Amino acid sequence: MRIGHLIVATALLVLMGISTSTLGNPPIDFSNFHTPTQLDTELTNLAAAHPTIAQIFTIGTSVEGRSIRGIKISDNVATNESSEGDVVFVGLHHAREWISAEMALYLAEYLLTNYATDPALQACMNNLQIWIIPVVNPDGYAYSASTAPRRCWRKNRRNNGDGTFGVDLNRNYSYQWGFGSGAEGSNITSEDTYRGPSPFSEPETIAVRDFVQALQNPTTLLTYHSYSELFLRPWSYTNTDPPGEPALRFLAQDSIARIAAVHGHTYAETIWYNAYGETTDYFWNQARISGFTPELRPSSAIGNPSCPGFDPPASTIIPTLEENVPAALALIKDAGCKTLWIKDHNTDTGAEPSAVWTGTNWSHAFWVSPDIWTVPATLIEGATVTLNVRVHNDGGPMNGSKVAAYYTDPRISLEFPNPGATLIGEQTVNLPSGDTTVTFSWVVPTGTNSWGERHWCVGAIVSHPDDRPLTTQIQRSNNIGGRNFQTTEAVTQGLSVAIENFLNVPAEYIVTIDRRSLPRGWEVVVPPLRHHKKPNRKALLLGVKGNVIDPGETIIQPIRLIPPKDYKPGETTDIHVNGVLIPLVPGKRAPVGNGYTFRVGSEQPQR
Amino acid sequence: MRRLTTLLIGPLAFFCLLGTSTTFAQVSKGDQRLYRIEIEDADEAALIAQQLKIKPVLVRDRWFYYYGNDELNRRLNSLGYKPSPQNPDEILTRVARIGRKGQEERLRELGVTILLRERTYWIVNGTIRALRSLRNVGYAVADVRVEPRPRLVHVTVKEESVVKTDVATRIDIHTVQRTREGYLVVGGAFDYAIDELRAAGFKVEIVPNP
Repeated sequence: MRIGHLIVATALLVLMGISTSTLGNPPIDFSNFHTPTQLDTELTNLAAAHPTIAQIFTIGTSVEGRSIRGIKISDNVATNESSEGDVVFVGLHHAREWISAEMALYLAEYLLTNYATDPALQACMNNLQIWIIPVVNPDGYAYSASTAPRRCWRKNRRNNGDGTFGVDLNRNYSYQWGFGSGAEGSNITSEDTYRGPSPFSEPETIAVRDFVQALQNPTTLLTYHSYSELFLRPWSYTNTDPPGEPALRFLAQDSIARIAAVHGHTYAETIWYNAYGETTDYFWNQARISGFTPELRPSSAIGNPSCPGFDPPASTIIPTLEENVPAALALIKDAGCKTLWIKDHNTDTGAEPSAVWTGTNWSHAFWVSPDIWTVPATLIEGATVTLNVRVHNDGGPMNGSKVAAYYTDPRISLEFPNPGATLIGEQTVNLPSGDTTVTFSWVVPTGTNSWGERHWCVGAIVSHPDDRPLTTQIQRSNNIGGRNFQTTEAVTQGLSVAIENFLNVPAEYIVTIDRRSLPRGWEVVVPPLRHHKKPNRKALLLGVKGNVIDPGETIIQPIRLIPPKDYKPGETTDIHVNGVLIPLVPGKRAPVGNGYTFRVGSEQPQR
Repeated sequence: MRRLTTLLIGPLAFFCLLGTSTTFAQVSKGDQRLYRIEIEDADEAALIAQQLKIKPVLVRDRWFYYYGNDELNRRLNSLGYKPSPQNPDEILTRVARIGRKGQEERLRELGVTILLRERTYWIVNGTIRALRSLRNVGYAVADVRVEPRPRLVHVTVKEESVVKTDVATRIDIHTVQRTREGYLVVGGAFDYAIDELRAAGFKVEIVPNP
């Protein structure tokens, strides 16, 4: 039938004098579910029809030896552009959720066919590498499609060796793996939610983990599922809010509004149970990659009575795909389009990340935003000052933008927003093209921060429904800027930094002085801390020789300053202290952290 | 190691494992035996697998089960672990088909769970030792011919909060729909879970398979 249509269409075009070769592939037919073979072929054809911007890639092999394939979409597709952001879309962790694979394929086709004709989209896509993997679970998919009684198969096809098969891939990621029962994740092999014998026991989940972690700058990941019409965000394993919850909530609620605007279906924000070992929890915990789980249509158990809900009427497919595109596009724009941004340092151009960990230092001190400053510059405790936040707008007018400013104890692993931060203010503003300075009134904190120093960090976040921060890390989001302030002008002898681990997992911490910022003659010493803790087994396994900090723990690291012998009181200098936490986890260990800048050299001013 | 793994996990090994002549030494072939070490969490399990290239047989609660030998155990000792030998018959489980006879209570006493009750047989799950006990008391224990699948069920609850606390911990939830009576949970469940839900006072309807 489809071939017939193609022949007729081609004949018509030839009669009209139009070469079919200029039109690329005919649109993919989404009026019925594809078979696994058809879907794979469509993916291949899609890449072949757009060779300059699309390329097939493979992330690994399934239990039964099938390739887990995806399509990369990017302007210089053959090149690994490490300076660009990465956005990942995946489908079909669960075999019976065919619509999730259709969604991923549809999105790929949408992006490729609109690239040439939608300049705004093209501009965003040119700053990104978009990775779409329609089928994470090819064995389960093939099994589900093989004969009717198997349609409702959910897991992969591991031979559990006890007369049962399959592991639930979306209960097999390591974060919070091993808890719960039933829908939460089960240790009973015959159950559909069997979590596997161990975390990351399956080649499919290992492939996803290693693929995402190998990307240079992954910012967001959407993992499509079905059904029930939900748009879920971390945490899945608990009802408590994750770090950065306001940012995730905003993204999820905005996505829900975009979905509803298409056909009027309002997806819910929450599901009725917890899930342990789930995909988005893993990536948010591991590297603050914002992850979302859209549970697609239908909302109820309709369709094929042997697998209701998962096998809905074919008429459901296209509206489902249509309504989910705008939410995906918004995330692509957030990741790829630099519209609203705040500088993290003097040479920051808005590209993400603005700094990378080199192993010993951050490449740039990104907590010294020149776009955040006070008037007067000297902060006297208790005084009311004007806090200025300069926002750059590289696009057209962005009415209804929000600019929020916080202050907080500075600490390694700082992120914005964070639960410990105090809101200085939030304003809704219309931002014209170019630069706009938004001002806040700030009463300078009195006394010391929680570890006894007069040192604070101010963070500013700019957002708009068309340009939202996708992570809470300053250096990885150009919507966020941060700056250290001291309520003393300088210190002369010793200072300290706080390292607080709110990563939920133990981490190695490294504190170094950026000697590039040190004037001649000055010396700075980071004395090793005495440890009374037992050696951490995870650190031993990883061969970590440095210091380890437990979840929730705060360590104060003193730093000694040794001025030059010819030092004259009144001279000051800025020194950068770098800090990083590297979690003790399997897979690639992504560093998170930041640093402080201290002005050293003279005495505290008197009021 | 590979031969051993095949022996242990291959479904054809079932009768061998249940055979009366099966001994601990047979399932611990060569110098490899089943051990376990205590771990902190799933991350540690994954790190052991990744860094030491030990394939876990099972991770449950705070225990990491693996096949190893003295050399490997010395290495683990040096990292602070205390390997202890385990009997696979008491750890590893199998799904089996048995003839339907006698009291279900007796099966439970022997440590066997009924996954599915069919007209002439039961599909059960238990450790190798428990299944051997079944055979010893006269049950014909056989491999399953068809993979056991959960039944499609409708569970009616009055309050939404109960879904999380009482239903989700027992069954795979597909969706939850609001009804005049409260909420209808659609999901997949084996018979033991259906029994538990009914015992807890929930109305559970098994949807006939078309």
